[in-house]
Amino acid sequence: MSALEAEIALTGLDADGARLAHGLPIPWGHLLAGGMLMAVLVGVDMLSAGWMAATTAATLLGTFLVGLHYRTRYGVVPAGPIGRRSTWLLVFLLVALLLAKVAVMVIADTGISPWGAALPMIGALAVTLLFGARYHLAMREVLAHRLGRRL
Amino acid sequence: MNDQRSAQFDELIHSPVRLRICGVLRNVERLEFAVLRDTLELTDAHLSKNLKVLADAGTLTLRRERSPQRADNRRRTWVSLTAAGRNTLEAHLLALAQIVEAAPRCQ
Repeated sequence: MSALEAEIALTGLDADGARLAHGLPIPWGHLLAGGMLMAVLVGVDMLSAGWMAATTAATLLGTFLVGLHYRTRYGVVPAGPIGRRSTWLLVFLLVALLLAKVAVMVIADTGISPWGAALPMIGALAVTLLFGARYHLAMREVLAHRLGRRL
Repeated sequence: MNDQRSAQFDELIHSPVRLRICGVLRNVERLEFAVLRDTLELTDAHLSKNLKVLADAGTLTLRRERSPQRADNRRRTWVSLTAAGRNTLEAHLLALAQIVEAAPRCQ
């Protein structure tokens, strides 16, 4: 096989990757649903023990169902975070959600008005939307440009 | 870790359509048949034929799932590379890259 043929074969993979990425628009509906679920998960500490357990279980189930719906809707199951940028975005998102959770736990412990928990919950929704969209864009970029080049 | 991989040209994967199928599956866990067909702009028959060849060789797996979103309850087919298939593909891509790199460059 000639070098030209090999190069054509490799660059052709990038074109396919670009087409695959193009068919994956940012799933705002799924991100919004996921963000609302994360907000609830962050705020459950304001509930009584019984409700906390039930709400946490329902939220985790809801998160699973949102992921399942995404797969069914777009016909793609991503292979986890691909690329350094996606990985960092995921880490930042998890850290931000953890900080919001700690803030709600502190508010619950100190007896501040329950409405004080609204801020970290809104923050959880916002960071899920923001980082989720950026994560998706980073994933698309990797899919579009790395098929023939990650060697 | 990448340096420890060995380049190995694979005749089965090297067929243009089969290389494209494996290439698209490389960065995802699995893809639905229709997405793969639309991405590669192939007909159902052409894609099915090549998927069967790759599946028979153990390069990829085909999994059928009932789809509740379809009124006629038809099944969706999910396609994914096997671990062996991934290794074969990586070795093949490395072999292609080496062929490209080994060629003299014209200025």
